Amino acid sequence: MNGRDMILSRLRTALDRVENYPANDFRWRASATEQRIHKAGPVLLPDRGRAEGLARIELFASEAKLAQAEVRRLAAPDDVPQVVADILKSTGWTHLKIAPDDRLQALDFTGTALDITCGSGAGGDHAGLSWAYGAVAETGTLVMRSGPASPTTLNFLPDWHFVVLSTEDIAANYEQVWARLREEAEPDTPVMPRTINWITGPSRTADIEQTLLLGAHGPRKLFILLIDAETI
Amino acid sequence: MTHKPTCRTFQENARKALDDTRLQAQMARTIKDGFQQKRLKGMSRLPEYEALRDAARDLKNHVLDHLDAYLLRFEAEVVKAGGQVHWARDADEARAIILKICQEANAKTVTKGKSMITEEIALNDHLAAHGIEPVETDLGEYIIQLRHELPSHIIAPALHLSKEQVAETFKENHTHLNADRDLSEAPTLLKEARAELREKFLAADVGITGANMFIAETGTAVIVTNEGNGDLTQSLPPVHIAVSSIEKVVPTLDDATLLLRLLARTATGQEQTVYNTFFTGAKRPDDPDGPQDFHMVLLDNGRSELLASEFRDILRCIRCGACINHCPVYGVTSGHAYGWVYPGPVGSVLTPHFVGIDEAHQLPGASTFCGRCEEVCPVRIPLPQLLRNWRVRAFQRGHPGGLQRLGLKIWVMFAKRPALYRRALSVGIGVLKRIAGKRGAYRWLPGAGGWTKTRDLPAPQGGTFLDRYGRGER
Ligand code: SF4
Repeated sequence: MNGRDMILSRLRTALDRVENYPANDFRWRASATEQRIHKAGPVLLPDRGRAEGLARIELFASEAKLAQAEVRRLAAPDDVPQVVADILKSTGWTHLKIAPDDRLQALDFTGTALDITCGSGAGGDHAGLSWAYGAVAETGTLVMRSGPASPTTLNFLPDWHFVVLSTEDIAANYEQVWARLREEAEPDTPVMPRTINWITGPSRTADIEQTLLLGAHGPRKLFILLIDAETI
Repeated sequence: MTHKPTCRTFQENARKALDDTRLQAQMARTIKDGFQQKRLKGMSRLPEYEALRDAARDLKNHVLDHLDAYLLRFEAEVVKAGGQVHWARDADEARAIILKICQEANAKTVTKGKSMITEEIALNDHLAAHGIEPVETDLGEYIIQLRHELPSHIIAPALHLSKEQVAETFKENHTHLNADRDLSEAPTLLKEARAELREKFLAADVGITGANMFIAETGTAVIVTNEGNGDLTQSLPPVHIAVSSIEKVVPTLDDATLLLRLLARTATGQEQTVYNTFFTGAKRPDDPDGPQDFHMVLLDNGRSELLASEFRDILRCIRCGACINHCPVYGVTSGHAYGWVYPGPVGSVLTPHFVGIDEAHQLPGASTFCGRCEEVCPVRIPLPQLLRNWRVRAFQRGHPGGLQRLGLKIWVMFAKRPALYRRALSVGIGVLKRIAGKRGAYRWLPGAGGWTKTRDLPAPQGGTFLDRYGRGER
């Protein structure tokens, strides 16, 4: 017997016992699991995950700040280049790596002194700019969805990470984001992209004497550029 | 070969720890003022915390009742997303599978995200013995890898070390850097580690991570990190291997979410861990980055036996570390005393299973049976009961009187060290008061069954005798 069959047969021996009734029959177990997966939905939603409308946006911003992200409200996407350039001024960095996202490519950086390249993250990147797939108000969490327009490495390699987020993409809770992904999936392709990152604040570690330090391997700073959906 | 256990010498190990004044100061600061306070703060921000614990317990029980069906569903989904699933009966088989994948990728260096399972199977030694350099990338794991030590805590591997010790370790190992550099402050240490590891990330041929849980619905596995190290490990190299144990499957994305609402809050008091990364199969054709090949290794290593035993409840564990953080014994002995990979109450239940009760017969007695571990466990595992089950087995194997003898010896060790005795006692009193609640008495107390069967035991009032004596209450 190979490893797989051996493990499955041991599990079966453990589960087919009388006291496991009614799950002591594999067919029953298989159909129960399919049913449960089919009915997927929130198990227990905390009140904090039920914010609506404006309160949802406010909650997102305050929770993100609590996690030490910096949140800027922008009037429109056209403001992104200047805001990023202003924030970067103090650093002396002149290069910005942007994700291959049409909405970011459309931005006009000519008025800034920034040198723009587009693509995945690289080891020496100081500043990166991405567009978030979504966000979760209850904990101020960004949701990044990997794909042609959103390389995962850009979320981790730059020292400072800028993320544009449209207010309409802020969900009240995590489960709403899963529902959106299920809904948007093409038939016969996986619901999930290769990588989903939930990001709540900048990278940190407490591994040296439990002292909290920001910027372990991921970005030291996280800037969320929040844009009112109507202006996009 | 897995790590050689030193559980038989728990008493000696503990005694050494008790005499280490630096370690004692560090434990006092990081455990009581650190982890315990953070958890309380985290809990206070989520009124539904207790209800979530019940739901998490029920979810894990449901999974255990249907384990084979969920694993098969998970496997099918991984394959659909372009990944491969490997099943490993034991540590040997898991190491062989992983080595083979690395060799087929012509790997010279492998980066690793923090994974207790790869500690359980002693993967690093095996890779190194075959000419492949494993590089731990979690800062704590990196430090203990350089020192050739086991983690002393499941979520904070280098908890036992001071920053001076870390500085020494870096000077010994990073010999290409200026020997006179100033490493006296933690931020400088972090900066140096970040620079060293950045190179390794970019050069690695294979990335190996664990998985805190994996999801049958979509074939997705999840890692949880604050540093972003596991996340780079799973996205930069051309091959990604994730290793997890079979009991960590959950039905749906929503079920994973339930556990993730509890995990960080219980472990570190954070609202959410900085990075929760969900990966599914291999990179898609249009993706600009991500691994070409994805392998998921599912490890049994005796868990299917636990499922059929009186230790089944331990399979609900989500490795949050709370039971460790609240154990008065761990709080003074630290992790290495336990002598194997998993320390604290959860370790005392798991270790005898992996290394045998003859080797580990002292561990189930390395407890004051104060019940704190069960009180804080987010999935409500009855840890004291499971420890008692092991004591029965130890007794059957001819290790009689484990509890009384060890309990007495621990007491003697404490009594010889007045400062420690006072500290442990004041923790104990807090715990006893909490159990007693408003009534100020117990109907039942672990280890006091003979008394409480027929009457309540009054809870201790005020501070310890020594505290009150010190305050001049005579
Ligand atoms: S036994 Fe419970 S408290 Fe201990 S690590 Fe596991 S889940 Fe956490």
